[in-house]
Amino acid sequence: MMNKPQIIECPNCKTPIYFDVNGLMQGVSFTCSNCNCSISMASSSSQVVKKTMNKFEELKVKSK
Amino acid sequence: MENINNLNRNNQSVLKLPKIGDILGAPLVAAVSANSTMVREQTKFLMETCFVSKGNNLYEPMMIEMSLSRFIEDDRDESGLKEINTTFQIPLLTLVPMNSLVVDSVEVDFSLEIVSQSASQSSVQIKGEKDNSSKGNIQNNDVQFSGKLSYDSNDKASNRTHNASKLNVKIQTKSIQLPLGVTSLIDMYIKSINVLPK
Repeated sequence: MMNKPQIIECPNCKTPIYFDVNGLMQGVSFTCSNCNCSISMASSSSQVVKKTMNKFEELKVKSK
Repeated sequence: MENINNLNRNNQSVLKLPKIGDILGAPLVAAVSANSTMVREQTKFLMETCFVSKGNNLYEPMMIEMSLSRFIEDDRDESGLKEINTTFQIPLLTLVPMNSLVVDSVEVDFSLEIVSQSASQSSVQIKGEKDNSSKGNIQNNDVQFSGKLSYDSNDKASNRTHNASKLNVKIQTKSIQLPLGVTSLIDMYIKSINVLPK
């Protein structure tokens, strides 16, 4: 498995926002190019995402 | 008597030799099996980490809290803008950057020394539609070769011993899009993301 570009629709105007999950985990905000609103991950969720991404990395190593 | 025993032993060893189909099939079966394992592992990962089981084969997506900040015009503020923070939830599934990896091609390269050959003949009867006068037979001749892996006489590799045999298997993988079901699910989740004030 390989990484693919990640997109989320802006909840405000539905414009695609490109993001990187590692950046989100580190607290980076990603801004919508249309309405300038920014999205970030709540700190309460970062542990769950971190755990999932670690498992995902393990799976990638396993499948190589 | 000893000669007959030797002959039987030789016949048995020839019977144990792999057929060409077996030699070709083994790496292909291994590749298909590896492919299937990859898919199984991926499904297991998705179900265990991105969904929460609610029993009775009911799964709910695990949700992640996100925050959205935007500026709106506000005359009361000096800058004329006011920052509004709202939270929304998205399924964890939409954050995992996954796609599938599949076996794209398998190349099998070997030299085979044919050590036995067997032929069998079978016939299939064809009946005429109205009477038996147009009966016919189709003869099938099946020839099967058995052999052992051998070295290639053109192979000039210096570190090869005289009788060394080899079977080279080259497997190439490629990444493909996720199955339609998963992409539809992610698409549906993404499209239903709405910001609701708390």
